[in-house]
Order: sequence, then C-alpha cells, then structure tokens
Amino acid sequence: MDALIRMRGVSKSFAGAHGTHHVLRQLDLDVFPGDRLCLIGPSGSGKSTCLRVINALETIERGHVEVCGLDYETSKLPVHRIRQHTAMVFQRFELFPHLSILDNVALGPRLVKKVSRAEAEAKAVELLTRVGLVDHMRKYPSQLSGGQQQRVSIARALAIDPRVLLCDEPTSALDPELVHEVTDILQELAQQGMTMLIVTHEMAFARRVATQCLFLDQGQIVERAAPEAFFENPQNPRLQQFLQVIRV
Amino acid sequence: MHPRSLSWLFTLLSIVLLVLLGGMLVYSFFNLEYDWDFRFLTDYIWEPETNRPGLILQGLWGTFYISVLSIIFGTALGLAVGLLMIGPEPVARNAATLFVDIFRNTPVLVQLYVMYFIVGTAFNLSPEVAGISTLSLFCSAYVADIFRANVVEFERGQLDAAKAMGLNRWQIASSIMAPQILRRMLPPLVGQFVSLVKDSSLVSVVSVNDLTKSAMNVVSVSFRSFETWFLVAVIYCVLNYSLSSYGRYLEKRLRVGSR
Repeated sequence: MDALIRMRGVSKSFAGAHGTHHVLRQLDLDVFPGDRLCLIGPSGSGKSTCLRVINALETIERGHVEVCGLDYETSKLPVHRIRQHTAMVFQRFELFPHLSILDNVALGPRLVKKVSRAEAEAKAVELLTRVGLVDHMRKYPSQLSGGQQQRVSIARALAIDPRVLLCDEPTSALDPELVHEVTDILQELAQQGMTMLIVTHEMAFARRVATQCLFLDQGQIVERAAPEAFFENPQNPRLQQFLQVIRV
Repeated sequence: MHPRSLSWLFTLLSIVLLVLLGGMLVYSFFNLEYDWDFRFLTDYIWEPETNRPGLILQGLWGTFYISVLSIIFGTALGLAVGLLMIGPEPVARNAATLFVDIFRNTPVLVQLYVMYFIVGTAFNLSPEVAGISTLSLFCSAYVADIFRANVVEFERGQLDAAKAMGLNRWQIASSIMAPQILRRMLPPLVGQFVSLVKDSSLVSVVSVNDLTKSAMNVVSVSFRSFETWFLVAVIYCVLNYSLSSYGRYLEKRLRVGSR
C-alpha cells in the first residue's frame, strides 16, 4: 500500500531573536490510508509546522514532501492541485466571514471539484446534517459559537473529499464545555475510516481516536507507538517527563 | 472611574459650549448690519427671460459631471496603481509608490496648474479635460493606497484556509479577497469621494464652469457675495450629504455576515 503522505528528511528553521531556531530537523513521516496519527509535543516542538508543511503553507529548506505520490518540488502539477488531496481544520476555524455557512461548505466543491451550484449545495447540506448544523446554514460564521464554527470548518474540509484530514489543534480555541462537540465529530469520522493527522493537546481524545501517537520534540519524532503503549509505557525520557507534567 | 458618574457634567459642558458658539455666530450676523436678501438668486437658478437653467444650475451640472467622471476614472486608475503597488515587479511597484506619494503630498491646486498651464499647453488640453485629469489622478492616489492597505492587512488565516482548500490564486483573489476588501474599502472611499467633490471647486481657477465659477460670476454681476456663497455652500453640503448617506446605506446593506 502506498503512503498518502511521505515526508523525508524535512528541515526548516526560522531566524529568531536568539539565533536560528530549528523547527523541523530531518523529519521523516509516513501516513498510510486508515492511519489516525496524533501529533503530541510541547509548544514549539514543530507540530503545527509539520502539518503546514504537508499543505505547502510553509516552505522547507531540505527534504521532500509527497502527497498521494506527488512531490511538491518535482511534480508538474501546480501547488493548488496537490493541496486538493488534503484538507485542513485550523485552530481558529478560519471560516470565510462574508459567506453563509452553506456557501462556506459549498465553495470547495464548486471551485475545486467544479460541480454545479445545486450539486455543491446538496453536498453541503448533507455534510452540515452530518455535523448537526443544517438548521444554521443560512447564518453567517459570526453568528455561531466557537464549537459550531469548528464543526462547519470540518464540514468545509470534508466537502472536497480529501484523502487525508489535517487537524491543527482543532479544540484549542474552544471553551472547555464545547470541546466535546468537535471531538465527537472527529471520533465519528475516525470510525468511518477517515485518514487523519491531528495535532492535539487533548490526551483523552488522542487516546480514543488514534491508531498511533507520535511525540515530537525539537523538530524530531522521538517516539511513535499505539496509544496504550504511548501513554502507559513511554520509552523516551522526554516523553515520560512531558506526560508527568501534564498529568499533574 | 465609572463613566456614568461623569455623564451629567459632560452634558452640561456640551450645552454650555454649544450655546457659546451659537451665540457668537448669531452676534456676528447681527453685528454685520447687512441687509440679507436671497430673492434675487431665483433668477440665477432659473433664467426667467430665456426660460432656461440659470448660472447656478449650469454650475451645479458642471460640478456634478466633473466629480462623477473623476470618481470613475480615479477609482479605476487607483485600483490599477494599487495592484502594481502590491505586485512582484520591483520597477512597477516603486514607480506606483512614487506616483502615490507625489500626488498625496502636493496641493491639488499646484497639480492643476501644472496640468493646465504646462501639460495642457503642450498637448492642447481644454480646461475641462485638464481639470478632470488632475482630479482623477489625485483621487487615484488615495484609492490606490486604500486598496493597498486593505490587501496587505488581509487576514493570513483566511488565506491559509483558502490555500489549504486547494483554490488557485485567481480563485482566492476573486472569491475570498475581493468581496471582503471591496466592502471594507467602502467607508474610506466614500470619505475620499466627498472630499473630491469639494476639491472639484478648484477647477474654477482654470475657468471651468463649475458651481464655484458660477458663484463668482453671479457675485460679479449682483454684488451680493454673502447670499451667493451661502447658497453655494448649502448646495455642496446637500450633494455631499446625499453621497455619504448613500455610502452609509450601502455599507449597512453589505455588512450582513461580515464580522
């Protein structure tokens, strides 16, 4: 089986106030169909950058990133065509404020999949029903709560039929009592076999949803294991320390 | 401190100030000992002998078409210059920035003189063409800068979301950025258009028949400058008030859904 995402020797650094900061160091990562990987790690460890690199939202200095066998650097396809195989859910939702909920979700199918408006809207209605927001489809993003906006953004991401769903801290900007709205839906997607790569701080959620958990530290994956082993029997000392701190 | 505890003091202060200012104005008018008479102006609004629009109405038409054309050309040119300013081509970008800086930092009157007496002499421009060109160029510099600022400050997050979705550059520009940026540009644009209508009075110095030029003509034959300028001020005010009211109406209608 071919990997949907293949990262090889990916390095990236930012020039900061205190010299160069290496965000990713020689990172290798494969995501196969049906994988649900949770990226866990301290802040600044490169989790979000890793996701953004997969979507070519960040440039890299060395290494290769392939999505569905297409290398961003060597493929003859333009970047936006390669991006169409993945979809992303952002920490701060990033819905388009000038479009209604329905149009936010229907935009992808219309522009990316080039289907008719009617067909795109039918698909949007179906997805909004799935995330339980079809009653709000005439409203605008600013009229919804954070949890509802994030559910819309999940529907928007699914609307382009991505092979992989990338989630960048999907619950970090939510009020605590709204977190489950979003994790419930992601868990449902997981059960339906969606391939996902999730950056999260919700350990209980990671445990429930992940096939494998990855610990990122200083731009490298230092531990990769099934959730049970990852949380109960961590091998890497930095992961042990990290888990101890967040359990307090 | 709680703001409410001060409110009556502020109200009192406002009333005192308004009464003082109003009093000064009323006193000045009475002190003038001038025999106000607005009736003669009707003849200049509509000429009774020829039964045709008088000087004032002709001037109003002049101001109207000069402003409208300048706004249209200025906006179109301004968007083009704005695009160059944010574009990747360094020569065009610097040239566009220089253009904007020059036109924003020099008086319109000087620009008009250069356009009419120097460029106009070389290319044989009529006063109207010189006036409209100057106002269009002046207006475009402001439009370009308003456009540039809105594009540069557009939220990164939304752009990332649009890119991640797989939209191409043209789709992002037309479906995501343009609708929001045009909406946000509206209030500053309307403000710019209002000042353009007022600035259009400057074309009278190169003897274009606008409202201000008409007023000068009326004054020179009637010798009643106070009444004439008073009427002209009211007309400018009505013109600009309708323009800004329409802008507010559009703004309100377009705001739906935007944050």
